[in-house]
Amino acid sequence: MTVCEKYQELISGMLDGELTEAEYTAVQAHIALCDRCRAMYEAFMELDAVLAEAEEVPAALHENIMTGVKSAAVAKKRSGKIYYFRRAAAAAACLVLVVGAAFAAKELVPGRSEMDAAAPGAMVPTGATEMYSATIGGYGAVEDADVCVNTSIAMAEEKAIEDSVMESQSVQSGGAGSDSLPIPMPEPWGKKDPSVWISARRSSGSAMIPVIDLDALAQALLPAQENGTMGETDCSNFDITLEITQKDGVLRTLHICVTDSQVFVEEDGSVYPAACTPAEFAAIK
Amino acid sequence: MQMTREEELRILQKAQAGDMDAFETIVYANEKAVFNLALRQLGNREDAEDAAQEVFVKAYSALKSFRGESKLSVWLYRITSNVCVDMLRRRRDTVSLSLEAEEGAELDLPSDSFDPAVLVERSDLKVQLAQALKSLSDDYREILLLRAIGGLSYEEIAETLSLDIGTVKSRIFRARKKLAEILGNNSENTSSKDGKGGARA
Repeated sequence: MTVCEKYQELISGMLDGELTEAEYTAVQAHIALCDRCRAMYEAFMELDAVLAEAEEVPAALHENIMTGVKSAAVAKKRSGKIYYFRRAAAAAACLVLVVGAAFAAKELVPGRSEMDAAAPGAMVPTGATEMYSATIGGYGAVEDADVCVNTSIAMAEEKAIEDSVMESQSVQSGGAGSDSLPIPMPEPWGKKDPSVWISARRSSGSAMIPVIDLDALAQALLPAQENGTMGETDCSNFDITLEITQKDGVLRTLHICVTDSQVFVEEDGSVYPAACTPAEFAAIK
Repeated sequence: MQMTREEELRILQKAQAGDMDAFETIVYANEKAVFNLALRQLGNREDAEDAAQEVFVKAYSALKSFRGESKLSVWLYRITSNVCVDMLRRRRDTVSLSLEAEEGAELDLPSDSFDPAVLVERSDLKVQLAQALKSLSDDYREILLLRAIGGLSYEEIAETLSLDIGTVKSRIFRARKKLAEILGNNSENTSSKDGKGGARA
């Protein structure tokens, strides 16, 4: 970095009010003498002014926001458990789905010889019906993610899930549409078989975590308690990220924090304690 | 609408207790900034409006988990950033040019021939700025906008994004410089087309 570049970084800090008095004085002295840095200072100022210029908000913005908020409030009030249920369902459906994939890929489902469960495009093993029922068609939304697809949030109402299960079962039992049951497996799974992986990022860098017992992981990420106020934690190291793409294309991100005594799950600033202990969590991955 | 810290905490407590009017006050106080932050991040008004609604719905759902240790606006801008980054990732149409999101990656600095004094006319600047913002990686755009629109301090940004202050300072500078370079180059091109090349300050 040249001397001028160092001053230009200080100029940026000066515009943000982040300089010490000594730094401020030094910058002022420099730009008084250096045309180039003074020009940069002026350019940065103009840039900030344009960036900060507020646009007119849409006329219906406030009304739309409040409509959304009030709808959420009604949904929450209707079922005090729904928040945790949905949250748990998100993790569970996602992970359970991968279990299903593992079964399909590894032929681990006993007594399913009638199912061609060995390859991408396989029929769904009945044992994994619930897992797949809500996810068929959902994989299409995933292009390059190494993640499972969760749709239970998209159809968060239990009834919708039940309907979906019923529909899947009827399809499997020879109902209409059985020809279209092949599961479009996302490419990464094909590449990574026979191991099953779940996409995870650590703050120290990307990493793929092989998950051996996904069903156990799904259970582990259920909330420690089914109802109650949102959990709070001082845990600041949410260094494991699970990314979940819903059927509707919505990307959800769960952050996992493992402390000495508890496992916490965070999403959008909300935190709940998970059912599992740190040892149990560690044992399943 | 500007609230004092005391007013904000009082309204927050009411909202956390389920008072919808109190939450609406929070919306009134922050919706314009949230919309503008989303607009700069996403580049179009329709998406920004959707994002703003999503931000406040998420904030409402998570309100009880907010302990009031930071300013409410900082928390809302963090949610806004997350919502926008998720939307951009879903769209997958963001073209990252030379700003790399990889930690430690060096940003190409403007060439010596760049003269920052040559900026396009202000009337064009906003349009070109929107384009230029798209050329920044999500990480650099987010951090610059949290500062320039959200008004967050380096410390608040560092806390929000789990970065150290040195990284925040460096990224903001590099993002600013990159934008100034792009806008300066656009101006040069425009001047050349108009046969006004060389009229540089």
